[in-house]
Amino acid sequence: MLYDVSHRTTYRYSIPVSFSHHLLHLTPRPGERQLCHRTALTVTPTPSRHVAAKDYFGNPITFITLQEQHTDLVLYARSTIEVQPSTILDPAVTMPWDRVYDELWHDPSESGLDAIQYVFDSPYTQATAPVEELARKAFTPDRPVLAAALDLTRIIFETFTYDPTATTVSTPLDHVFMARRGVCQDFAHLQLACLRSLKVPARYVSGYLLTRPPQGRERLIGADVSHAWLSVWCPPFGWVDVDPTNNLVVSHEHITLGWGRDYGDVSPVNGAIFGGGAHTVAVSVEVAPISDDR
Amino acid sequence: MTTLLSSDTGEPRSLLRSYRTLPGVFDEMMTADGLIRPHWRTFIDSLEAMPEHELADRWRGAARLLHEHGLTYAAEPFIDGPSRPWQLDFVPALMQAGEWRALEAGLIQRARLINAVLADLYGPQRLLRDGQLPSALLFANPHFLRPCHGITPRRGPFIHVYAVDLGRGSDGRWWVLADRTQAPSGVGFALENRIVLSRCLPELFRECDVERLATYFHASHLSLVDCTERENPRIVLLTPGPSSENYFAHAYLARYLGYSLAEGADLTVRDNRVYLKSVDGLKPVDLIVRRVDGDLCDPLELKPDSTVGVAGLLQAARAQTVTIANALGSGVAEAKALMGYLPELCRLLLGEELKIPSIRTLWGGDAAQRAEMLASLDRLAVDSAFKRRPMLARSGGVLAGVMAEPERRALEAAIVRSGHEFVGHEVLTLSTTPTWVDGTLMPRPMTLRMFVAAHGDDYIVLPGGLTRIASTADPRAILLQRGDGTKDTWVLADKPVSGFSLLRTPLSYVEPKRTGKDLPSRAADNLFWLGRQAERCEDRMRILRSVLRRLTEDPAPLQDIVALERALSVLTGVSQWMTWRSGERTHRVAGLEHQVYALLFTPDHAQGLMEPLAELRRTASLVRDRLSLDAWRTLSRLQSDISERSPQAMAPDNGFIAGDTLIMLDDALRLLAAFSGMEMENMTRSHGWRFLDMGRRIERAEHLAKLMQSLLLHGSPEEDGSLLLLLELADSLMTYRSRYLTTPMLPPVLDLLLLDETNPRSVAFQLVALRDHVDQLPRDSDGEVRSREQRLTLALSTELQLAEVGDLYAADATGHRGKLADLLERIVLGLPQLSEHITGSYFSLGEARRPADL
Repeated sequence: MLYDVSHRTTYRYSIPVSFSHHLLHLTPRPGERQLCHRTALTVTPTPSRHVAAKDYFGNPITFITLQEQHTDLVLYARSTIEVQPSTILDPAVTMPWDRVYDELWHDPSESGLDAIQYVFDSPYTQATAPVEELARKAFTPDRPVLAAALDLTRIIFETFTYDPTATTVSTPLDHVFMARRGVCQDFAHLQLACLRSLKVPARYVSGYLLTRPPQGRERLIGADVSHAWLSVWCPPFGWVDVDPTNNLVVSHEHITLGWGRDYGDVSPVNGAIFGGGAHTVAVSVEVAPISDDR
Repeated sequence: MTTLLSSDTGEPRSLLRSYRTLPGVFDEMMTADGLIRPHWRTFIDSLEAMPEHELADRWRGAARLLHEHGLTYAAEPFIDGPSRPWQLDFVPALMQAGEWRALEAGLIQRARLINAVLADLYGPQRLLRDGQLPSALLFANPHFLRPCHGITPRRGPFIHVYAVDLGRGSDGRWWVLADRTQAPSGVGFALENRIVLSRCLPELFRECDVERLATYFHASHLSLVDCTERENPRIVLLTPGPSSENYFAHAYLARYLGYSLAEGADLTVRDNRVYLKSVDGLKPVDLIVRRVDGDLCDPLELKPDSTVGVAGLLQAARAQTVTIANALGSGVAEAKALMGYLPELCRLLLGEELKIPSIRTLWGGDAAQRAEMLASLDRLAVDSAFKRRPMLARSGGVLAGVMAEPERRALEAAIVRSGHEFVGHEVLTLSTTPTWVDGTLMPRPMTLRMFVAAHGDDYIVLPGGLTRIASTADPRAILLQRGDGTKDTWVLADKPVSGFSLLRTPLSYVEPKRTGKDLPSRAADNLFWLGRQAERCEDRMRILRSVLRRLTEDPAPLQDIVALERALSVLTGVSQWMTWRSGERTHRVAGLEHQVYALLFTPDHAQGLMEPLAELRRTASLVRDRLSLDAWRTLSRLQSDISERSPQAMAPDNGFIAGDTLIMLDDALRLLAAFSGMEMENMTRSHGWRFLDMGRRIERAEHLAKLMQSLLLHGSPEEDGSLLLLLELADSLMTYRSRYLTTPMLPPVLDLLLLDETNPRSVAFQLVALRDHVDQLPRDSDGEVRSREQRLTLALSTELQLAEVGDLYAADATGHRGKLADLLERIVLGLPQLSEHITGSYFSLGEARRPADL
């Protein structure tokens, strides 16, 4: 599938900003199933400095510095992305989850080192006792890791209600846990904490969903805005993406921006500004399929 | 040398009479057989030769010195409350040169080792790939700063300063208890302890041939300079600010080394380069001595809610335009979990055996070590595998053996569930050292923090350190906690020591140059307000003193009461003096007394004395790295004098004892005069001095103009004692009398206090000085166009220069002096405006960064 992805973020400040630094995760990350044919990031006003780089996790990032006084800041990212569907995997052949960490401990290979760094608590995911209890509903002894992970995805989908008014970026996980509601980012963090409480490596994925579904299909939850889901380490297949907000294995309707331990590692816009006062922010995301004959 | 001299060969030793070593505990001074170790002999003999009363005097002198230096281990110096005074025991810990050299070699090796480990973890990570270090040990460590991976110092090591906590076990061997690799604290305190102790025991210090500390700091500084590859690098010491418990030590060290003390908001990154926001504009920074934890250093790439960091700092570090000491992320090597792996890493990376062992430490992340830990839990202290505690916090973890059963079970469960979060380590029976307790020497358990600094391609060790002692005799390492004492540590040389000291020559002044440290906008702001508050205190004290004196000495003539009321109204803003009816005298005197009492003693009284005093204390503590020790001690004495003597001067039922109060005010005014004298005589005419002086001049001119408005524009000043009072408040009575030999008349008073540019107490003098200051300040344009500040001071000073006393004196039919009133009004309105302009032009650069919360 070929997509035209556009992501516009508009900040409006009550007092002019005289100087600011930003770190942006707004460029889609190329991967095995994802090709970036074209990508462009336009910033208004024009930054005095605009530098592309990669972060520790290998995600494309952009540093910008604005020295011109401004009250409005517009970040407009537009990309043409091709996504291949994922292959169907048999959960039953994956490794029993309770062996995964021990295997990794003794595996200093590139992929082993990549996986084990996602086992531990991170600022947004704390493996508390109630979190572990929830995880154990799906993770019974000897169960293949992907089978258990899919079951957990279903449990979270069924137990928690999608409610954009319930939480903000800074709502702590135990609050989400108590209220039984939240948004895609909260569900991803919750499932990450569950998996990590059992030492199953899992990473946070930031990205987008197809805005308008193909005919005959329902619109997925979380389109129109940035979306988030997670990848689970499932030997022998490696990383498998699951989406607890929609209870599915990720295929070609998800576009990946990047990944890390949690939201903090890949938040789309991070900034430090001078002046500014109060601010409002508006985000619009559009993911439109491009017909193949074009 | 193995022969030990007996302690009781001569007279019975009074100080050691009740000194007994504890069974199974190594004592630093005394062997188990009760013999004094030879290297303690000279010290003990000299101490005992000193008459008892003299010893007591010395202790008191040292305690005062500590107090006046404001040595505290918390936010606010000067005052009680959350800050605790630094506890220094006046008996140093002694160590022989030979023993110290063995530790020196071990610590240098350890610094090299940790540097090599850091270079690998933030670089190729071969230790993980080759399986020499469990990868979990790195990835579970919250101090591993991922964005810092791949950043290598352009030149120089990852760790420039390093500290190690050591304890000596019952077998006499030294063990490493903890490594400090992030931003080791304590060296400032060690230095201060040394200064106080060498001053209070100078002859003992000489007789004992104590190794000096200064060479260490000098060598460390040269090594830092070398890393920048610049001849005259700009070095700043980055502090979290006055809220940090170590702020005192930061300010102290910055002043000692001649670095600019900077908070995060004082620095900015432009085009991958770090700049200091100074009153001269942006100044490039070459090296940051970091006293802020790594994860707080850059809100852009690290913790986004940090308010003490510098946005963009990592990009500058990546571009290698700035050296950061220690490198960001070096906190990762403080993990106790790492300790058990060091012997193997030492063989692997350095090809040597580890010279000083770490205390035996099991990491719960490894299955085998975890099993051993659980099996021997009762004998271990359990601690966090990665987290660090504040320097004087309860250290060494919790003893599982003494826990209640439910807690113990919870701890076991936690270790089983997330073993990687825990270490269990052996409990060391610490050595004891003689400590001054209730007038004699008693053994107390001790640990020693030693300091290591980069020197060229290698490291050097401070010949001394910070010895910490427990307040009880319990020798288990874990019982060293907050509130316990510290000692100076004397390394006794076996050859003559060099007398090199930095104390009077800050390092950056070694090369002759005419300007000192840069002046950050924030520091300029604080100096400006320090000047204003010092003057404000003086002005208010003068009014209160004069009013009080007139009320209590000879009964004041009736009409003088009016003048007193007018003078006080400058403070209170209440104008109730307008009418005067006979028979009210007692009532009005009582009213005045009540007002004076409230203004003097009410805490936080905005118009009274206590608020400017508190502000003076606050602003002084914010710039103490820029005040001389004498100036600081003068202000410190002022604060303690007033807080000690106010209660004595206050009588019951809201009265006060006038005599005591007057003496208190006299003394306080003398101390303020001493402070302003030092400011005039001892401060170089740098921008810092200029801002301090401008603050003082603005405050003085405004106050004087207001006094004149209040005392000269109403009633008949020439008859009611107002002129005399005004001359006294302006400290110009002597001058007046020497010139005029008459009772005060308005025209000459106006000339002397308003227009005379030679009188340092006149309004004109202040404005001319302000005009000169403003002309000297750095400006954006090249002096082609006058700045707002220049125009304002030029206008006001010129107006005074052109004014005629006769015009100002002239009154209309109703007695109103219109020209004088207008002139005073313009001054009273103009000065706050000038203050605002200066703030806008020079201090707003220091405006706090707001995290964007995006």
